[in-house]
Amino acid sequence: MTAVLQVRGLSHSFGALTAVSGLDLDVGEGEIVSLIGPNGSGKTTTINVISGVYRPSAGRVVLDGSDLTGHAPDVVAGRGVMRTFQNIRLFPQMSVLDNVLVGAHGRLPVGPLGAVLRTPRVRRAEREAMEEAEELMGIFGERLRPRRHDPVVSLSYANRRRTEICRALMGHPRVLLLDEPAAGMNPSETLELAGQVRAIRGRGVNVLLIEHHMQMVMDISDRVVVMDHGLKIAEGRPAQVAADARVIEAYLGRRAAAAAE
Amino acid sequence: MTGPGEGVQGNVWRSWQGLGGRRWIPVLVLAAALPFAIDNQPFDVSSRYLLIVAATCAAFASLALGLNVVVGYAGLLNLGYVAFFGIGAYTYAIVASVQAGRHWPPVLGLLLAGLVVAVVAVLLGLASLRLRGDYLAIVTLGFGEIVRQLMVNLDRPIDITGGLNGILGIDPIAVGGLQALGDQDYYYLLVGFCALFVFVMLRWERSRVGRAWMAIRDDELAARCMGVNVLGFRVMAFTAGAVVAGLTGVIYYSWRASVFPSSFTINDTVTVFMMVILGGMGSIPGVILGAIGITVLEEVLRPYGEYRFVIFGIALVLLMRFRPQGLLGRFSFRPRPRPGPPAEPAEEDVAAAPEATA
Repeated sequence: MTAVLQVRGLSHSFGALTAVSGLDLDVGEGEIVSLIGPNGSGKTTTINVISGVYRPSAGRVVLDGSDLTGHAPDVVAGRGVMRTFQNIRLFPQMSVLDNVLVGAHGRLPVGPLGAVLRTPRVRRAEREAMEEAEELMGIFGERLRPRRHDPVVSLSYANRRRTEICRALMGHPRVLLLDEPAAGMNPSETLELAGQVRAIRGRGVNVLLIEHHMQMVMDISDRVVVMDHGLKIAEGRPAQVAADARVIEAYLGRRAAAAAE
Repeated sequence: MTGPGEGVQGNVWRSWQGLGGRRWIPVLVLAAALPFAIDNQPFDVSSRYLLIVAATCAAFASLALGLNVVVGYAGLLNLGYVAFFGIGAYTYAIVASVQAGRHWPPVLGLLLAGLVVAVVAVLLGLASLRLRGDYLAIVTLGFGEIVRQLMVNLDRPIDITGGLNGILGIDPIAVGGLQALGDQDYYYLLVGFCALFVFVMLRWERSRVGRAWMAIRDDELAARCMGVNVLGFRVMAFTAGAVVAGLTGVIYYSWRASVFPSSFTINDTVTVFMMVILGGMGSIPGVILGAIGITVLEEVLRPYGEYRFVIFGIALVLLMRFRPQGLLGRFSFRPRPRPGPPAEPAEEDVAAAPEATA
């Protein structure tokens, strides 16, 4: 079975600093793959390259057999890769619902003329998008729904992250890139989120997750890829990776790795 | 965020909002009845003068609505905005006046003016809208000045624009045998166009198109990552605003019957900006209110000549200090406010029932 998202030999550097170097990464059908590593190991850069924010200096990104390398972010989104942001990038002056609806931009057949005339087709498309936004907010129970018309700046960090996830899901992604979705969430919210990410996978969305909460990573990942200094240092099932000496060394230092053996 | 939706009046405001597009009906009825009220007004001013001011208000409301698409929705600082007002007016004047001896059917002239403005806006937009913020402001500022210089200098070698003398004897708007002649006809024509623009704006505001514009304004990168073709939608907003200005230029200057380059300076752009900012960027009732307010204030302060700009300046400073989003605006003038720390309390107390998941 070929992977839905294939990353091959991906490299990206900022001037003299190589942030990602020769990374291979697969996300298969029905998989939750986690990308972990110490701060500055190149995880977010990897997501930025996959989503088209950065153009890679080498390597390829392939989705369902078609090449995405070097395409603009809006093209990448249209092909089925949607993302969230580590530092939360919602549209601050728009409501929760409108934020979520922007996620459907690429697939709504509504142009400037159609919007003015409100043809039956436009009406239906907008109504269906609205219903779907409601349904997606339901993934998070009653966290977002009562706040649908509130400006996003009034939301808690956790709810902002949830809104970002809904917004990305509105684009019907093949692959969802989650960049530290649990950051700023308390332990019980993080536990909730783990179940919710599984539910998202259950909807047929394949997930690439960057996360620092190890418990969550170990619980929900099918595979874990570990990066350090831009290089992939380990890959495998969560238990395998947790026992890997190089991973322990990257996180805790050489002495801790020796002690673990 | 303090909005008009809070406090005791909140409920009244909310039910007014709940009317949606229908709440414009009473406004439209009032606007239609205004000339009759003006005819029977008890004040010590001429009714004709009041009607002219009212029609001018409608024209500037349209201009402000157009600029609101560009600045309020899409967040583009277009400092050459009145150039499009001028291009529309001049295009119509050239094909429908004694200037070139051509007298096209006015509707055709109106369509041509809209088309010319749209083409110019698309070309300028494609060339300049890759730039952001201050850079775009400089390019559009230059564009506005170039257009004005063309108006001044295109009287040689062939006389196209009439130079500093402008174009006189512009044909009135007419449809079939129906000619708009008096001030009252033009009042209704300008209010009618303004109503049309409001309708279009309302439809855009609550659709994929409006959401894309506001998304770009709020966070360009996030908008791109959600699939928004940023350049395309910017050009669209830029052009939409330009066409509104261009069409308004045709109607307004066919009423005034003459057009001069001196009406399209940076000062005039700033005046329209002032209307939009004072009234409230992104708010349709707000910018209309701003347009009416500034137009009326200009008339009231006319005896003080250029000193009236001092008063406008003070008004703007006070507004920015105490109500940065404008009178009725929902968006502040700061281009991209960082979302502050959450106002919502921590969540343990929230009765949330997330779906149980396997």
